[in-house]
Amino acid sequence: MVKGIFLTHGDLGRELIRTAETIVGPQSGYAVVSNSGLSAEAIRAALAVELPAEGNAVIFVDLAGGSCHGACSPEVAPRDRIAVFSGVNLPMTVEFFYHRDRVDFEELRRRLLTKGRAGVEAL
Amino acid sequence: MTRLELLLARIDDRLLHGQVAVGWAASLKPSRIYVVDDAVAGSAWETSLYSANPPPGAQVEVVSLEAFATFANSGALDAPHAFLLVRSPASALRLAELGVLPAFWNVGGLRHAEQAREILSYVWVRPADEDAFRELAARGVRLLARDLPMNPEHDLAVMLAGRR
Repeated sequence: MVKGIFLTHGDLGRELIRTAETIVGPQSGYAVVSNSGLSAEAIRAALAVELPAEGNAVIFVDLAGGSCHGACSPEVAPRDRIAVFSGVNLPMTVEFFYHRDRVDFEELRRRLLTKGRAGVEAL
Repeated sequence: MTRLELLLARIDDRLLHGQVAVGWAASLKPSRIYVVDDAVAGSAWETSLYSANPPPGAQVEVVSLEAFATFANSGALDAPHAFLLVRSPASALRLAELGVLPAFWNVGGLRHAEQAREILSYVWVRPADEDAFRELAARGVRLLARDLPMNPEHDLAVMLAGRR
């Protein structure tokens, strides 16, 4: 199972998952890391502990350029096996939980980006 | 010794993050933001992370402590329109030793770490940090804690002295 790590400010990650579970059912194989009260070093350490030493994983970050993004250095999260996305939203989260066991990793990467972006429209 | 009248000189262990890029930059409108840190300057990935999303109207430069000191001492720095960001009191003290002294340091974020004690919710200090602050205060630099421009400011030197 591809592990998902939700690395955000405040409780955004926890609430996204909770909400996604009302749509796709209870989930496992994920971790939530909040940057609240943590220094840049501490965030990096909290993330590193959650990442599998080999195999694939996806890190979902809320804001590009912030301290959560900063924790995802290429050394901590090599991009050949770990996907990292900013702007995590509900459509992306639902897509992840629904498809992570149904498609291969490269296809999953593509879908997450597409679904996440497509989720933003003027209504 | 260059006494710099900077738009903002800030100590924040997250360097250029939301609070600074949005909160402070929107309020003070810098044209240059200097992220001054040896580790960041030595990492291409981290350098591009900080340079890639500048606030509107600002250019971000990532430099080592020595390179910044040389630049500031040369007189080429447009201080009144610049932000100076460092990660720690140790960095601020190192700059002082290299001849760079702002009129005051905004202490915006020193988050919880081992052996750190809480001064404010966003300012946790370890013994080494307190020593560095004390040295800076002794050089006549004011230490003003404030996380966001609209929030209250605290005189850190007074708070540190009061709790010894």
